[in-house]
Amino acid sequence: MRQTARISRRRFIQGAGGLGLAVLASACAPAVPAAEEESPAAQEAQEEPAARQVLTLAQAEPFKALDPHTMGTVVDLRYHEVNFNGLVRADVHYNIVAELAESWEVSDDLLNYTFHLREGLKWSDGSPFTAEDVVYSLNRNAAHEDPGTKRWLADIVGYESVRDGEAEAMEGVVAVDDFTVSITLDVVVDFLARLTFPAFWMVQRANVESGTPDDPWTQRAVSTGPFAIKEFSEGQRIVYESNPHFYEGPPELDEVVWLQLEDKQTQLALYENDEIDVVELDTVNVPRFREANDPELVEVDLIWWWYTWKKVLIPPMDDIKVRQAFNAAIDRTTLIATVLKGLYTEAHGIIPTTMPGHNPNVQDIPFDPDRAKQLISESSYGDVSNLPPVKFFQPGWSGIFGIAPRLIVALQQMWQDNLGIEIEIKVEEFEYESAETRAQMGINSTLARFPDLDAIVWEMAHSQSPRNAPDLNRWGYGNPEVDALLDQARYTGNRSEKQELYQQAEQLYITDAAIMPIMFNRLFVLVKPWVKNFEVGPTSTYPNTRNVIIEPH
Amino acid sequence: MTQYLIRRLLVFIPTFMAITLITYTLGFYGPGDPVRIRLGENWHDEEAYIALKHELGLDRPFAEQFFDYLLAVVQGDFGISIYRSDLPVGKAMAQTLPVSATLALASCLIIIFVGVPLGLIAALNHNTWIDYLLVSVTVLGSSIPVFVLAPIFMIVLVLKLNLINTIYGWEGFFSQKIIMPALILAFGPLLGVMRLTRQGVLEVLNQDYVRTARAKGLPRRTVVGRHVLRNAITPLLTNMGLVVAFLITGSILLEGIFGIPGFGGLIVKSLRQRDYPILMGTTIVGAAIIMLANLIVDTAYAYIDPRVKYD
Repeated sequence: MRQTARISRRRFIQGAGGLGLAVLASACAPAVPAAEEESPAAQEAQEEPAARQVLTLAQAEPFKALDPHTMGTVVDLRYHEVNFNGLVRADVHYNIVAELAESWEVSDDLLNYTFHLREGLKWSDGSPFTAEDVVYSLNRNAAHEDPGTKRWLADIVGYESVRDGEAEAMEGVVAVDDFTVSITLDVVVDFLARLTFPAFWMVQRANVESGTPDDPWTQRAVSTGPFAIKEFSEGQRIVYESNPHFYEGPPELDEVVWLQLEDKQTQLALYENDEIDVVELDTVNVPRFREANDPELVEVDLIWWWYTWKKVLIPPMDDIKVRQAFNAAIDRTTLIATVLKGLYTEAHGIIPTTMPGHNPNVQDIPFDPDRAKQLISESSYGDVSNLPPVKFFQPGWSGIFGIAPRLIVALQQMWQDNLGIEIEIKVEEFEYESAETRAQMGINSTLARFPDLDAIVWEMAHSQSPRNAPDLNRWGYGNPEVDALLDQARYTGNRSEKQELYQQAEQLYITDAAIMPIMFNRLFVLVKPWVKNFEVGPTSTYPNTRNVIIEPH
Repeated sequence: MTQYLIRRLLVFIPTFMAITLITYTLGFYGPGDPVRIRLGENWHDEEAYIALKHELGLDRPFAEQFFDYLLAVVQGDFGISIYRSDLPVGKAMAQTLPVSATLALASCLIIIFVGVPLGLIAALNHNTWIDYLLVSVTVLGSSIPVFVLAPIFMIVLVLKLNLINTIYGWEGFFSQKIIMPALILAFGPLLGVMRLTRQGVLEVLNQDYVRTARAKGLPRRTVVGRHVLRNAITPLLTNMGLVVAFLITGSILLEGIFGIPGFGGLIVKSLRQRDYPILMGTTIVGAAIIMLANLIVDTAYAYIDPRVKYD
């Protein structure tokens, strides 16, 4: 047999060994761009050992899009806020403050906004930023193939023509001169609040048009925010460097480094090893730091709330007494104190605690098991035995949040104990419930992305909101009184009057028991003591990296 | 041999088609809707849903979509990620595979240079406390899942003993960052390799030619190195091909824990995001790796073991 083989056994093994060594040698060569050179950290250490200020953060969930106009999740917003910005912005208290626009005027009918840009604005590549860039950015988003964020531009005159490809530019967005932009709306909305959303942020035409599938522009984006992208390493990190042309002047920080690291335990280990400066805690780790009164722990109530919804047109939820009974049977205080370990803030309304316009006095249906039973007997069903089987929809994504499954089981038990009703839980893969499930109620969480009460209260409570569309098997809620208040609020210019109208609509909505607010989510973050001026925004982002200073340590 | 190779390669074609069809069918009829996922917070916007579904070509009949996909794959186009519209699947795999391959290689070296000597030591000390200890420790070590082992290593080696400065990220083969993940990844297969070596050595030790070699008065080192080990590890070498394939595609949890931008991490992310184009691509490429590894092993066997011949 040996004689028939072209290669001897010995030579084959020698060859295989040689090949193995060659593979080893090639494997030792850089495999990804990040490995081509010495690590950035090592380079920095050689160049400027002590002077550089670098803020290192870690993100567990992957981003969906670095393009602000295709923003998919709040994770994306964390990245966008580092390098992009718009005409105005929201501070951490959700106040609207000037950004690229120095000032603005609003017409008496609240339909036209004239923005005056700061003089001398530049892109991060040093080229001048003018009103034409604003016009391009808004038109680009309106025409964007991805539905991403563009629906928030829908009230600008001419939006639909651009969206449908019938026109290249919206009639309602005009560059009056290099420093002045005029924006006209079809209907009155809280437009300044919407402008704080990435849908309205600036992208550079030359930069965008230079992008290809293999070399996306977003990974080398030119921007007007405090930082600009310096390095993009797929699945590893994004490094932003201070923008020397930022209108406030370059930030104190030289770099912001976002590590992409999906394991939160590893993130915590990196934080404890001083490799990252800020870490978002998993809820299981919070008690350890809370009990120790750790000064590095920062807690912030988010504009993100959890609630159960009901389809008010489908029995038995078509009866307000039944809906109220379901709410009265839930002891939220105990639920949050025990099942959720006191980590969250009990919610009674739908306007979050950190949102301007929050009403601490909103009257919801209090926990009262006797009253709950009485409400059922007063209902058209008369007794729980007459109620049809109730299906409860749990969206598959809710399992990602460790709290949701525990919460749902506790709710199920409370309805069983306090009302004698057995709820069948139907878990579906995604947020969208299938026709087979046809649940009468379910759980959801909503995060408001910008400080517009219309986007919260109208979206939830107006009969014309897509959430209530009965033909699409949605919640089907509609109350003419609530609609009237919301319509009036939308067309009210005075901010405090506006807030009051939304609060009245909120109260009616809560009394109708179409939903049951459960809690406002809270973010738990550890921040190293040498990181100064670090703030967590109510949307769970870190909007003030521009002001952060790293003290010597 | 050439004919054998051609036959094996031809079998790849229907195998690939079957794998692609099964995966595609599962993705198509399985739960979850990639269009809703792409829409994100706009999931309830029916108009946008219909438009995007049409744009992605997902409103066409199954057969049409499948054959279009198959045709594109043959041309090397695996499509674009559903979740990340700026990420071609081919590019994602091309970036991540070399990382996983490098990590697998590092683990392989550990498996060979630790597993084989341990197996040898255990066999040479058969039924002594050394044998029992080595077998027990490796059984224990390989029974602990990666997600438990990794934090233990991190806490002990990085935070308590300060033996390693950092644990996160990837800087290639010659970096201390590879040590821990390669070690943990090697733990499972190490047991198999150690056992195979131990078993092989025990069998060979009883062979006549070993007794003859000893009778000739050859030193123990020569007997073990030249006559025992060389013959004992033959089945091991063929086994290593499959171990490498497992290591490349099997580092799923590990890569996420250590922030390694590899193939396993890509699979996990795409699973979480119901990113079907990436799931399809990684399944096909993963299957190709395993089939190729099998082919290499089978081919190599003919050279390594002179008793085997393919006609």
